Amino acid sequence: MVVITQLSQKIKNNPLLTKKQEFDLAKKVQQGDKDARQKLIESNFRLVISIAKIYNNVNVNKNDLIQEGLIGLIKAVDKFNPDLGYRFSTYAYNWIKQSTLQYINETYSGIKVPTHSRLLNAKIVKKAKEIEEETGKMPSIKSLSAAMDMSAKKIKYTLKANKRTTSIESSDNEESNRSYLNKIEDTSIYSNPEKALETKELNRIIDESLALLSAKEEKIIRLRFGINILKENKSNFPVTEEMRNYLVK
Amino acid sequence: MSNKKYVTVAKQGLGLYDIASKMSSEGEKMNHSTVRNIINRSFIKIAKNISLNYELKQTEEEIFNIAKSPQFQESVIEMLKRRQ
Repeated sequence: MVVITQLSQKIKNNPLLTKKQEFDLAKKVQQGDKDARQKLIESNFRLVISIAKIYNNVNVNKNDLIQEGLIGLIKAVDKFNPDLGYRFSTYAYNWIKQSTLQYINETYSGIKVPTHSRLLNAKIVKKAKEIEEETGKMPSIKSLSAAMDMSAKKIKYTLKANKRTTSIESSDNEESNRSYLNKIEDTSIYSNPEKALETKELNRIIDESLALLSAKEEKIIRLRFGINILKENKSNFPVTEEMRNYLVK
Repeated sequence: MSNKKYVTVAKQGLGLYDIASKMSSEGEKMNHSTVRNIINRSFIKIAKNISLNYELKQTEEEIFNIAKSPQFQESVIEMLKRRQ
């Protein structure tokens, strides 16, 4: 958490601004004062951290999340108009939140989904949880559709689009270098050549044993156990003249 | 491995009488007990060959017991299915 440590130091050096100080600094920023701009940014670092904390449970890099929030803060400082009478934090909050959410949206899964779809997904999930708490079972798409007054097709599509994906090369633990790929069992013959050889040998023996069966024996077993009869075996039962005469009788 | 006492005949599998009549109609005259004997003999043949290949030196009785075990028969059926 290098970024948080660095920011904490700056927060200590820059106490909260009063409305008057904020107004004066914003005015100076509008006139192009770089020091005032720097001061206004540094004085609002704690706002970035508090917004980043809201998304603490989201599985993204926290340092990057704060960095993105800072970009939002810088945008807010550059666009803030003190003459409108609002406090800077009121204005900056949405800029920081927007930057943070955009970063989460871009990095949350490998597939980028529009933010409106992501937000709709959150609403659907929340509603589903509410219904689950009430009824004790997961609601169906149909009941969700009725509860949210939304088409079932849209709900289905949104849930499908927002399904969580994870890179096979990522790991579930930041400190561990073992990726998911490393945790998947290698079932190829290269992982255990001895076993592969044994299986191959067993298959050969079984094949050889099955070949010992006469066409008649194999056909009877196939009929008994409902296994399709091989085409080439069909001609292996010629009706002899003698047998035909017997059957005709 | 489950310790079953019998092999489940697939839905489309035929009974001994049906097989006997089918084989007879195709020119191989036989009755239901012949069908049963052929099935038993086939499994014994396979079990014996596997035993020989692995040099297990099993007695006729042991081979017979293996051949009639549902687990063994199911494995042979699986292999036959794969050969389709």
